[in-house]
Amino acid sequence: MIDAISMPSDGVGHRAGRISGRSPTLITVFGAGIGILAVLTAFVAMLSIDPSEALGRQSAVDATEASADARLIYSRLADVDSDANAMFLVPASAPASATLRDSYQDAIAAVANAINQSVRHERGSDRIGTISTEFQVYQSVIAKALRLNSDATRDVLAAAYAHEASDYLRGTLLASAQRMWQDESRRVDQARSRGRWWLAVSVAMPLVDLAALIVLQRWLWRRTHRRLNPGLLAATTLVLAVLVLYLTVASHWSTASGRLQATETAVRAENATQIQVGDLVAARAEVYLAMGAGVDTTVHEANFERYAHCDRPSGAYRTLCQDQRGAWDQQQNGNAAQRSGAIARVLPGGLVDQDFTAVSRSLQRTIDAQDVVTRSALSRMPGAPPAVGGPASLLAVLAAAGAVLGLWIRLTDYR
Amino acid sequence: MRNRRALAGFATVLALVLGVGVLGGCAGPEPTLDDPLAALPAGAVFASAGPTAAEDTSCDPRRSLPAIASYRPQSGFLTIGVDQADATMSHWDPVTQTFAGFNIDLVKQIAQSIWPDGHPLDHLHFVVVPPGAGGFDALLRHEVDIVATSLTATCSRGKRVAFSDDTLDSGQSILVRKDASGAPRFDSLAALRGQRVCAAADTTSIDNLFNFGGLRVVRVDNVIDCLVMLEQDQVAAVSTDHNILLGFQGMTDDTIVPDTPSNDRAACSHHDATPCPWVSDEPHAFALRPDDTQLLGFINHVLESPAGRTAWTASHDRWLPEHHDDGDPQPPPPYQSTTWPFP
Repeated sequence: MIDAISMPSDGVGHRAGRISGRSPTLITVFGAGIGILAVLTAFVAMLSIDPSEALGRQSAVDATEASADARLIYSRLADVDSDANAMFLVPASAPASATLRDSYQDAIAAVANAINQSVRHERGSDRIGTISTEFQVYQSVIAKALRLNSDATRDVLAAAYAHEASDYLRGTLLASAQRMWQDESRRVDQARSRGRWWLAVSVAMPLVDLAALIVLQRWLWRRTHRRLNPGLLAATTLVLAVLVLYLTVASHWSTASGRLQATETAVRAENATQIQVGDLVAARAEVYLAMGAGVDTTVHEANFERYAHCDRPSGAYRTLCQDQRGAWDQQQNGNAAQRSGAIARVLPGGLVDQDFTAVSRSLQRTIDAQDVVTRSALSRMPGAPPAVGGPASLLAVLAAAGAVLGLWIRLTDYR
Repeated sequence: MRNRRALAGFATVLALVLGVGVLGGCAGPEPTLDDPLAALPAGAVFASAGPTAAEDTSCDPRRSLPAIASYRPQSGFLTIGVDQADATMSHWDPVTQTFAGFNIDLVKQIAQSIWPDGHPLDHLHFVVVPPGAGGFDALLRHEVDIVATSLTATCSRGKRVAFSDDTLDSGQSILVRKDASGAPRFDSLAALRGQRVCAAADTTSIDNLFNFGGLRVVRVDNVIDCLVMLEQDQVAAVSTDHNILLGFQGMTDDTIVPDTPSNDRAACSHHDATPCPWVSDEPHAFALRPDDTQLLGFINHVLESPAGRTAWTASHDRWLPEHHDDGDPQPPPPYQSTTWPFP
């Protein structure tokens, strides 16, 4: 085979000689470049497998379950805070004391169950370990408070310990539980953004390969009597196949990303309502602290007003705020019988307790409705996408080999 | 040449200023008490700075308005600001569902004198207020009529409120844990230099600790939280009025108020015996609004009256038997009364 541009002739021959002397070098450089690009494409295809799977339904289910576990722990911890503070409303010798202590023990057991349930999911195990340890610290402070509370002369100190425990639970334990579901939200967000990035790179790489192959083929075509290089042709076909593979699953990525966002929005709404439930339980704990174990009634009253949204009460909250204010007035300004009556209003079964239950039920109905939305969003999540990373990677390697082989043959012709 | 020198000088000053700024910015943060695996009372912090000015001595804080023998109440009750956690002065008793303590007995006597018929508690409303000067805001907002916490009368506080006659002479002391032999781990405030010492915000106690110097002062909202921190080994001592510390000592088995003499003669001028561990003079009184002169005069009348003195003695015997003051504070002669620097 004689290359037309390498034929010697006067004038034109000199220029052709220079080109002929330069072309093998260029072919070598182009070959190396195409090879590297194709290998990179294969590499990207391999790396995109995990982000792709992270956008599947199972991933969303895992995240939703982990968030639900975190919310359960949060809710149970808030219950413990309320039940613990209720124990300090009445003297240890009072008949109601035993019932309140039983409720506290039940609440402790419920937290343990929630933690155990969460341990079954491997995600967030560090946080669960932390919560478990912090919960032991909390229990030890409450135990100390209860020991002191059994002695009327040490009741003031018992109250201080109870107050410290409540503050620790809300400032440390509830914050840890909240961070658990925030971690899950962050993980899902990262999965979505990583998925988008890898999809873009996975499609961009074959396009770059394709462009490079076409430019190279055209360059050689103009120098070889308009003949196509078979190796480059094969490589182009293989890269096109890679592109088609990605385009077939691109719609999945897009759908999965959108539905994952919808699921995440639904979970966030549930989390927000759960915070309201936590606030409600905190409001109840503040009532107990103000009327029992607290050392600064004014602060606890203000905290109750804040947690129960008494500045702009609506629905069941309005009744709660009114009745609780009445109980405070009765306790602070009434005689001994009225003060006992005020305590009875906030204890289980009392008027204020019933108000709390009404608000709690209202919030639970909201959570139930939001849960339906979450499950619906989950059910619309597509499954894991077809695993195209492996085949795409193989095709890209073959394309690299084809391109290098085609250019090597052309180089051999020169020599 | 002159310009160059000026420029060099300016650059040097700028560098020094920036250097100081950077060094200031790099100063280590105040160590925190935060430990995620240890509970801590709400609001407990290291108090890194405090007043160093000497207490205003331009008045005699033991003086008040002359006694007035009659008082016509504006309503059927008095609202009393109390400290729910003060075991000896005004704590909440969950058994009786009411407040009890030395100051409560005195305000009951006042109510009894105003409304002789019926039970005095029927004419008293109690509102919990912050300790020390923290209760003044509630007083000035008319949320309470009398602040009856363990409150020291001082000249500087007298610029905001009016004080009754001295109701109890006390002094600041410390409460520490006992060692294995039952002896105090620290026997005086001087021995606590470099250690964490806890006091409540807005109190003369915390001011005195700053003025004493060399202590790592931990500030809390309520002094009972200091006792919790002492028991949890988060502070080495609690420092406040002796009458409060006696209540704390009674609540715990392993704490003690050391009786090492303070060698402060002024602080011990109203202590009845030696050794006197007090490091400051803390005359206690009720605080009222400056314009509530009728009630203030009547309170002084009750405190001076035989019934008031009897009530004082009985209450002291009940709540403060180990408090070595020199007895019922004598009312000042009429000609010495009322020099409060009212605004």
